[in-house]
Amino acid sequence: MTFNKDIYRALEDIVGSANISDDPAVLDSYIYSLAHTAIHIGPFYNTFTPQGAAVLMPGNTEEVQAIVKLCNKYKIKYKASSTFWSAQGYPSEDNTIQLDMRRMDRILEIDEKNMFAVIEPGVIAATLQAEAMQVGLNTHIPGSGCSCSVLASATSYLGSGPGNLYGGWYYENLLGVEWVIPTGEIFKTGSLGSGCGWFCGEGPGPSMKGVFRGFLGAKGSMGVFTKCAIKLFAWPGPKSLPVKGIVPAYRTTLPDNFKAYTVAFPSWKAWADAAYSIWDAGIGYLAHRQFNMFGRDLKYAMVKILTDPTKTLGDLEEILEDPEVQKVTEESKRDFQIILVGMTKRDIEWQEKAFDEILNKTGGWKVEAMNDPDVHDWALLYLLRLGHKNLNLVFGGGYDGAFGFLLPADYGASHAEEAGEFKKEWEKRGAMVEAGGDCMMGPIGGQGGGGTCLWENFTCFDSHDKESTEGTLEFFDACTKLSKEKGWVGAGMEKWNSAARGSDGRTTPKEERDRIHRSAPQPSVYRYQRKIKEVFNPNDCGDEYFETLDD
Amino acid sequence: MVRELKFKMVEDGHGIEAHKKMISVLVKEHNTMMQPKSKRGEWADNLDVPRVSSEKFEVLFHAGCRFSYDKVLQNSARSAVTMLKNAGVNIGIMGEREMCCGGRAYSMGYRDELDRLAKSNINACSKAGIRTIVASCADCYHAFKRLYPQFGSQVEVLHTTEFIHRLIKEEKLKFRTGMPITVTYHDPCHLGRQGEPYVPWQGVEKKIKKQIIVYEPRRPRYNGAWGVYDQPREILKAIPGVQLVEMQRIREYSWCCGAGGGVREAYPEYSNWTAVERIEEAKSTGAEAIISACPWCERNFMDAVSGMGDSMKVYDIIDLARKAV
Repeated sequence: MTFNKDIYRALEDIVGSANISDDPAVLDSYIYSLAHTAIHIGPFYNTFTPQGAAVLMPGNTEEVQAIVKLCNKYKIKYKASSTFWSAQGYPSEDNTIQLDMRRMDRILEIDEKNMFAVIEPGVIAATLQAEAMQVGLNTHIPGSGCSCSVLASATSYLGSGPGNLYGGWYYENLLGVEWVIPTGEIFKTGSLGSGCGWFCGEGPGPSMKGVFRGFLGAKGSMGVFTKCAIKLFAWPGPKSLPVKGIVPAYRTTLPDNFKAYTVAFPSWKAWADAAYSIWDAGIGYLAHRQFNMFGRDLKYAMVKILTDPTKTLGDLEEILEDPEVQKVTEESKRDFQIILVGMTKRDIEWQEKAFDEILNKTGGWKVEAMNDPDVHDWALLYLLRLGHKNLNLVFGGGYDGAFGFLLPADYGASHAEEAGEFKKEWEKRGAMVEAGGDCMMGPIGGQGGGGTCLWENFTCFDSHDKESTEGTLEFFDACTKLSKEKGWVGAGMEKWNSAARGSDGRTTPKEERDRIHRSAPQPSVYRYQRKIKEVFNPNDCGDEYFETLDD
Repeated sequence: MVRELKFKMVEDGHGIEAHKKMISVLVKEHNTMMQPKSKRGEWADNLDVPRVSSEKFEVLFHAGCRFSYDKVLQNSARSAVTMLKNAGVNIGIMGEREMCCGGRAYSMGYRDELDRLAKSNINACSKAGIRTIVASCADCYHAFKRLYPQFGSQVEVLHTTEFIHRLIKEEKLKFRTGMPITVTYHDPCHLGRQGEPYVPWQGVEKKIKKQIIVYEPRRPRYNGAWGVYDQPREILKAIPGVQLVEMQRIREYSWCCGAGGGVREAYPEYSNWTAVERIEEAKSTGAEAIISACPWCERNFMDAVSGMGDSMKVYDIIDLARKAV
């Protein structure tokens, strides 16, 4: 412990002795390897986020408020995290207090009539989904998976996932919020702030959602969100998902108003045209280019492995030799998965008809091999529940996304092939898994039914292999350079975190942050955020994930 | 990984005090219950079953430490032996010569103790001409089934539920007495997700597709799904009047009872909390009784129920089966 005993005792008085620790063994469990979705340096380099001064598990808003006020009094930094997705949830600097929000894990209310839930930070998507389904509702699930916090995803990050198509991104589903602002006061946003309940995310005056989220969410650096309401969606299925099979080949058989398809197209233009037509027609429940995360050359072979519990990666090479697998792999190069869900029998019939017409118009086709009943039911469960995040790491133990075009379908599609070919050349050098170059995956649609896709080129490597890690780092540098040379807008996912946290796990030096922010397409965003930070966080008790730039 | 860490901690002298005490008694008395070895066979007093020193038999019933010394639970062990014997099985016991299987010591990080006990037990079985070991304790089952083959054991290993299930299928055992009761079944960790059979493998790691890690030859995968899950359920369903209702967390996702791995001995409060969680889950099904197939689970549940002042009944599956025969 590096701060004095009096402060520790004061914190202990707030949460109780069972919910605070400065035991080095406990604190060591709150550090994180920068291996993925961070700066891409694996454990080989022994590079971790800094150890906090203490970890606290508050049990309610009052405790959070008292902690935050104490931190302001003594100018101590704090970082709140609920489900700790990647290095972003951990301290960026020494002597930071880590708030672990897992004790606040209650679903406070499900308003069936008005279709929203009021939740605490520790509520994960799987739990909310299970409870919502009991009353004929469902929740969006972020791409990070169903074990992630709904509140954290909605208040503090993107919250993008397969459900974007029907339900929008998580932050779009955010309604009333209870926010312990960085100085310790409680701010209630939207209708909640006017005493009118949780139903609306915005109220009179400027968008507080924009203020506290900033660009891409503040990631625990601007106070603590202690409750929020989240919009729910219609679920015309059973009260719980009937899961069958043996891990990893779990599947769910649902009524005929649920259909899971993998569709493919003769060109990227046709692919994008189909995506736009789907939005125009207003069909579809979930849509994601999901299984391409394994790579264009490996995806169907991986589906064969994952739908057969007797198979392992040791069978991969043999499966790839199968002419039938090669045929399906070839026909599903430019693909995505879509789930159609009919609210009524007529609805699903209409959606199927509209979808077939879209395929007809764009020259697309359903990949028949994916319609095998077991594969269909496996894909259905996979996308509805998003409980397979371990597969991100299945090949070599390390992965991260490159490029990350966050743009309309035709923009990403027009660069996908080039970005894929670029990666293919690097794959040949051997640092990363040779998967066909195009490992682009992500959601189809979102943002108010508009058309933003997210194109993340999965790069799988062995983080315990120095050559693999170093080669992958070189590749990511090359991706950034290529994006700049090409003028690709919305790319740079491989460096998303470098503006906030450096390769030593600590806050990026100011000069480097300023350089990055000045070179951004819209640097004014960060100047506005500085002004917001000056007002709401005068003692600078967070870290630099709420990105700022001086005038 | 956690197990390897435990081994390392113990080897470096950083074992947990409560475990050290247990191990010191285990070395002298060959049991994990802190009891004298001379009393080990008392559970079977007046039971008409051959003991290894007096008669030859092919099927050995291994009672295990908990059943041997826990006066409340040992009637289940007696019932198991009686049922199997009555079904015509040539079964016997080691009696006071029985020794701990070593599984509990292994899970606490004392692999040398497993080594010593496994070799002794394998040798004893070999001398006695044992072909099949039957265990009613999930910990013992796991040790014999999964760990002992690594020391060269080749005897068949069955949990009592597997044996009874086999006898039912062969129509050598029938349940005739109805028992109108709603029950839920708790999968013991060492019978379920850790009860998968041992598959010998020797090989090397290699990479394909540049950075995909695979093993040559193919390495067996233990994913917890191939444990003993169906047989206990089918036994319960075969008992007239018994209605089986499932909890949410079952099979490979079963919630632990809290007793295993030395947790009960070293962290009693946490162990009790874990059991209380499970009892609450069992109650939520509407069941009158929670059934298990391991005395460690049953003891922990009984203590939790007692602490809660609850009326939930705790039975070994054998208790129900015996009453129904």
